Amino acid sequence: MNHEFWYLSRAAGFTAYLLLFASMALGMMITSRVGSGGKRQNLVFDMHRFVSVLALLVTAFHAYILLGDQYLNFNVWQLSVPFLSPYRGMAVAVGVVSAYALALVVASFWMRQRIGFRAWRMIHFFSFVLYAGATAHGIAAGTDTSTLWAGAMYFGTCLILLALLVYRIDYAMRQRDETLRREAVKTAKKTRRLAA
Amino acid sequence: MLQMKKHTTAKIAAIIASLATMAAAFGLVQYEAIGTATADAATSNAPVAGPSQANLAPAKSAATAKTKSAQPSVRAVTRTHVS
Repeated sequence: MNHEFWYLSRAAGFTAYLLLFASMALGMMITSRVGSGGKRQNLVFDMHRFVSVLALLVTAFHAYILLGDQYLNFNVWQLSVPFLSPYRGMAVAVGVVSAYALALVVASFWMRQRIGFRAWRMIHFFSFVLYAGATAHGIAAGTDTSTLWAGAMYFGTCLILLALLVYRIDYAMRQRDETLRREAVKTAKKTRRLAA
Repeated sequence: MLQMKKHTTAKIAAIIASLATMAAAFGLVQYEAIGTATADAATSNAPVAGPSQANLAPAKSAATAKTKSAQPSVRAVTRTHVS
């Protein structure tokens, strides 16, 4: 029996996961200005968008290459509709839902002006949930989870994203404090001027 | 113009890196699958074809033959080999 489709799907799964990680990291680098200040900001934003599209394409390849697999004989519906898969139903369903969420986030890049900043931001926050879903899918459905390299990959990527998230929150808090301080100084100056 | 060239180069690099990652992962999962199957065969005392096999008693030969037929395929082993 030909196993190449199965191996290709697994390889594409890892690639899609790493692309998703890269996209998330680039996104957080933009908002927290890590290595993306000045002229580089445009490049980082463009790459964030491009890597997201690439992640979506590789995810689609990861799923639909299984149509060629003769061992489980998947059909399009089993790969597209959650809970229809005969192989690890729950884990695959989480993966399918995460893939749809990724499609939504990617589409939102081009719908920002139509849907408004607040909705776009909400959809973007949703990417953390989709990343968690993709990780859970990889761990639960992947047959390589028990290997050292796969474990190190999941652990390493999650750790880096967590560090970037902590930095992002800290950056946002510092920005807010700075704005409040500036406003306080402005108000004090105004009060002094009025008193004089 | 220079900025656009920079962006295009970065995008091409991203595509090449993705393809390289996929190729590396393909090799790795295939290696793992074969490795797992080999390890499984070793632990279940699967018979190895060779001159010594011909010298075994008939009963023992039959037993080992049964073990061999019960061996899961490389694919089955890798699919059940999950934590």
